[in-house]
Amino acid sequence: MSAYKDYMDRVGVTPEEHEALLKNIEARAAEAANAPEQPQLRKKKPVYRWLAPAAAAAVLLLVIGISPLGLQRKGNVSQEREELPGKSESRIESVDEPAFEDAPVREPQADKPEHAAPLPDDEGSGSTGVKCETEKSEGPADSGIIPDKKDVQTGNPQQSSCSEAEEGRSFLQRGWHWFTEQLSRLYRSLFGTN
Amino acid sequence: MSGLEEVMKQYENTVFRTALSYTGDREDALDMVQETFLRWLTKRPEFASPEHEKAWLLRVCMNLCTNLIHSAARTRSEELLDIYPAKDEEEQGLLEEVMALGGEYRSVIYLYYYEGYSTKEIAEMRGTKESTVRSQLHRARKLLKDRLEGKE
Repeated sequence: MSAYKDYMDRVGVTPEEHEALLKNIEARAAEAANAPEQPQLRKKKPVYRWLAPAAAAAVLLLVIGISPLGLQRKGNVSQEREELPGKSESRIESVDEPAFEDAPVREPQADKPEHAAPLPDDEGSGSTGVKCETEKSEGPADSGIIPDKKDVQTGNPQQSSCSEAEEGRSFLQRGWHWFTEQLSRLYRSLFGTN
Repeated sequence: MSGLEEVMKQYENTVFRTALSYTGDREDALDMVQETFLRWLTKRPEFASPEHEKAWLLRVCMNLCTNLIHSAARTRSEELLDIYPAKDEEEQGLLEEVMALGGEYRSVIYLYYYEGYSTKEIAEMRGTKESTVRSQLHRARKLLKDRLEGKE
């Protein structure tokens, strides 16, 4: 390494370069001293420092916190569904009763079909659930028998609540699916991970 | 400017060689000398000893050189050995190999062999771990040895 040291001994700033450097430094220092003080720009807060953990925490909270709610809702719906067959069965049983089938058509009701007949149609027209429609087809209105006022009251509200529950559940499922998809898309775009 | 000329006379060659070992370019090295002493003049730091002052200047210079190396505005003008030619072939061969090393290796070799700093002091100046400096020095020596033996 002695050759290297010898060489570096010869390397240096020449007197001319020294003078030029000195002048330049002094000029620049004077310029900096005379220059009006510029208002310091406010330093931007490092957003990404807290954005990433916050987003991750939000996703976690949503996944942990909302999905049980969805499940709970689903559970309620299934409970409702569990309850429904019993009620509908009782209704169907009442329809299948031979005594009811064989029962003679009462005159006053036959005279006024516009009173009783439109009711099941009106009630069933709003429903979209498949199950509820089939139930409707089994209903007393399609069998040609004009239902009792009592049957209409007990049967149709059950149908509408079932269809609403089905509709609500599917809406929730679709909403949840869309929401989680958006979140995962956002997460992917933020962190570039799959 | 009070004190600037004295400080420059005392340390400008050291700062210049450090910058030269880092950048490998004379014009860049002169720019770095200018920037370093401008920092000294504007900040006017107080030092406990001349050694501290020298270490501060070298540290500022090395930081500036690192920024320059990583910036896209860097231009290589002329080969160092054309400006400062070697005395003989042996020196020429050694210097060619030293110049072929990376800037970090060159600066470690300069500070360790020429300035006589320890690896701990170099690490403090550069703001890195001592183990990093040691491994860089080891790699630089190995590279030089391999290349010089290969030449023979």
